[in-house]
Order: sequence, then structure tokens, then C-alpha cells
Amino acid sequence: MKTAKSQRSQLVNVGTPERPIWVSEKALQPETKEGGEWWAMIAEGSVVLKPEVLDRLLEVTESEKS
Amino acid sequence: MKKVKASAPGKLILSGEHAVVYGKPEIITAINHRLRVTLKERKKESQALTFISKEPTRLVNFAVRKIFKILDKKPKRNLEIHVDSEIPVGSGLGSSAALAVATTAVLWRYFRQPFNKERINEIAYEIEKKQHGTPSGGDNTIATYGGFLWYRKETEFLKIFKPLPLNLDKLPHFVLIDTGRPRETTGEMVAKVRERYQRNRGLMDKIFREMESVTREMFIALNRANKKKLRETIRKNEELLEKISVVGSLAKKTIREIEKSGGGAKVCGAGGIKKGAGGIKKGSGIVLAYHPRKENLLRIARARNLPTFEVKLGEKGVRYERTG
Repeated sequence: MKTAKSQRSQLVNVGTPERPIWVSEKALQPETKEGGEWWAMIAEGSVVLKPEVLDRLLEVTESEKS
Repeated sequence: MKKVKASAPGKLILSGEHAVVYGKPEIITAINHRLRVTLKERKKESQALTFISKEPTRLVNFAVRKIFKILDKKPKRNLEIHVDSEIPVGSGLGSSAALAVATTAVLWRYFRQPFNKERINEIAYEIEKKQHGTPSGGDNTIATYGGFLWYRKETEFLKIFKPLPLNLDKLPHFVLIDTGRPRETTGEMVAKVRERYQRNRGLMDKIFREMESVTREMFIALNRANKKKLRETIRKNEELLEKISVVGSLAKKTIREIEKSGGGAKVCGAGGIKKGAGGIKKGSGIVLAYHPRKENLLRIARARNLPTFEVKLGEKGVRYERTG
């Protein structure tokens, strides 16, 4: 998986360099406490993602698991 | 020695979790479990800012630096920041937003800025963005203003927040029951719901529409302080959450017993369904429960060794506290 870290903050790019999709780096660590909290915020609407970003992120986390 | 103290409430989703991801509304409420931040100015400069906190120090540190920057103040090292919280960390009860709001408020007053909730909320939102990437703004808004909030994401660029004027005196107390940490990660729960949505969109859309209706009914029940209707909407809400398969067997059994005894209960947050190693039942996180006789809830939870805590809804937002 290709992810690039933002210089500005704790965001990572789960898209491509041409079409970046920046998400919190916690999103890629769902098994950690902080990552778990972040994903809970998705379920509760506290963090908002475009559907295509959510799908891409789920794809990335699934591929990381396997 | 200069000392300032501020507090902000935690929050709870009363209705609409999961459905909110698909553009349906939810009701958020502030609860009477608060996080307090105390700032003390020491006479001598030390090597670094001092944080005394069970919350992640990185978060407090970031909030402090952000506010120094916004107020165009030179970072000071002679400050001690103490965080004391009644909001369990990582329980989905909004501890990070309460921390962002209360930290902003203490520094705001320390730098002699007039109390301005709108500005505090804006800064807390900036802190939340740094923490979470793309927050909705709901958590910091409820921690700042308190009360109840109707939230709906129309598009990524249009989010509707509407404060709900409710008469707090007539509202009953609720009990939160901690059914334990789910075996799945919350990411897996979001993925499961998404997978079902993509596989059977018609059915899931129907369930989410029903959730929307229940959320509306719950607002009406809260507005009229109609306890019977409130219990009914909590039950319906739980039924729909079970339909999207986010409730595990331990939580279901506990909830059935509460219903049988005359109450209502629902899972709050992402939920959880898997059994642990050796078939040991794992929890589904926090359950919101109501019963006209709350002793019944406490008895049911005690019999299962499940921790409980009482909550009052519609708590006030950020405020300064007496020091001394």
C-alpha cells in the first residue's frame, strides 16, 4: 500500500499523488486505542468522510490486515 | 499565582448512529460528566510546560500551542496544566472535544479575552481537525454550548446543526451500562455495515429511513417529556440497530431483560457482535438505558457484573469554575 505522510499534520494520503485522499493516520491503525476511537467517531458521525474516501480507506485497512 | 479553571461536558448520541454516515439525522446531547482543565502560572520558568493528565499529553500540548499561535502569544513555559475528567477516555463520550474546548477556554481567560463561546468553539474545531482530520464539528459544538443538538450531514460541505430547545426539568435520568469492549475494532463494525449497505442497498436504505423516523419521534418524546414514548423510541431504535447487526448477544440479553422489566435500552456507538476466544461473550460497548424505576436497571446490570453510571441529559456547555 502506498501512503504518503503530510508534512503539515498527522494526515496520510491513501489516494494517489495526483488525487490525494488525506485521512488521519489513526485511521490506518484500527486495532489501537486511538484508531478505535477514530473509527467510533465515524460510526457516530463525529468524523465525516466522502463515501468514496470511506470505501478507499476500508479497502486499505482490509489489505493491511491480510 | 494566577489560576484559571474551565470545564466542558461529555456527549452521547441518543439516536442515529451508523445511519448518520448515510445522511440521516442524529440527536447529540451533552451529559453531566465533565472534563475540567486547570491552568496554574508558576513564578519560575521551567524547562517545559507541565501537563498532569490522563488524557493523551500530545493532545493537550497541541491544543496549548495552537491557542498561543491563534492569540499571537509567545509560548510560556511557566504554566502547569492539570486535566481532571469524569468522561471515560475512548468510550465515545466525547472526551477529546471536551478537552479541546476546556483547554481553549482556560487559555482564553488566562490571556484576558472576553468569554466568547463562538470563538472558543471555532478554535476547538481547529484542534479537532488536527486530531481527527475531518471532524463534523458536532462534538466541539455540543461541548461548547451544551444542551441537545440535531445534526445532519447533507454533503461534505453542508452540515446542519440545530440546537434543540428542551425542558430539562422534566427529563428523566438515564443509566449507561458498559457491556464491555467489543471484540471487533470499531473500524470492522463500520466496514460490516458498509458491506451490507453495498450488498443490499434497498433494505439498508429502508432501515436507515426508519431510523430517521425514530430519531424524529425521539425528539418529539423528549420535547413533550413523554417518558412512555421515549421508552418506546429507545426500543425501536435498538430493534433497528439489531437489524443492521451491530448488537452482540450479551448486550441483546441484557437489553431484553430490561425491556421485560418495563424499561428500554439501546446500544450507543459502533456496537460489537463477535464472541471472544472459547465462545466467551464480548460486549457491544455502552448501552443507554431508561426505566421508570432505575433500581431495576441497576439490579439487572449488577447481576451481570456490568458497570453502570447515571447520566443527566442536556448538561450546560463550557463554563469557568471557581478555583481555590
